[in-house]
Amino acid sequence: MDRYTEAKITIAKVIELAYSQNKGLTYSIIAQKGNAKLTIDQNGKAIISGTAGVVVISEGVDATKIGAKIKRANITFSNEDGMNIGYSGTIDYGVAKVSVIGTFNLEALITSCSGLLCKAARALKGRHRAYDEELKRIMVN
Amino acid sequence: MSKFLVLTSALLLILSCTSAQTTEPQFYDLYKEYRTKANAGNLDTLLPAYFTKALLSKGDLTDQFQRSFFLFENSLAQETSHFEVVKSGVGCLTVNGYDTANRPVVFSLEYVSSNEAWLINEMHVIYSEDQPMTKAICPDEYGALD
Repeated sequence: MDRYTEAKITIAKVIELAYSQNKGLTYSIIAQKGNAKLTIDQNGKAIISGTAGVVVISEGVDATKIGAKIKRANITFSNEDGMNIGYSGTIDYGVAKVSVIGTFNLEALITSCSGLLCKAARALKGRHRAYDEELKRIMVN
Repeated sequence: MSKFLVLTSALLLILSCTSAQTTEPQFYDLYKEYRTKANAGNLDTLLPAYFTKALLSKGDLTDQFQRSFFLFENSLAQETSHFEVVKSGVGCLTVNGYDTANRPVVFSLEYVSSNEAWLINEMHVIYSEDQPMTKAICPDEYGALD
């Protein structure tokens, strides 16, 4: 998988982690008009914040949860019209950083991890090809 | 005889000055040299000659995704232009081009001097609206993480 796609899938997986922990607040933060922010620090502590509140991913973010080894990340989301979310940011993979921009449909993303596919992906603790392909379809456009 | 000595000394002085000028780093040449040499089979032996220990220790070279960053054609399949600058003893090279899927991309490298060699200390692959870049930027100047 190329780094452009990988970075976008990484962002989707972190949002999904936050959503699995606190559905209502994660949805409100990202769906609310204006800017929201996702940061991951060098200890793997991940926070999604916006005017609606803050979600701290208490279990942390590591390779067993998102399938990628990342050092830090800083992503900004901008919601202009409800379900379509713009994003831009940088992920530090250790040896190199990758910056990406794009848009995704919030509803498509949060429903991508509601069924058997997502359960199978979680059970694998890392990579699940079909789930990655689903996230690629949502995030890469 | 004395004229010959004076001429020889002058010639040596000119040559030493010329030599000093050519030691100024050309980061794009260093980048090209590494890019041409590197392949999946020789990375482990090649990396210490082109990258700082600090960069190599930040990652996991057994991870295929992280390893792929060291094969530059994975970041930049086609080049269109490049710029370089030296700021406070740090060299920054910015190469514009397209990735393997033909998306516009900027590859930004930071070089630092170590034991009289210039080594890559940071790499940044940038997909953004601000491209192609029209001047050299350093990897930390885009998308700050702090």
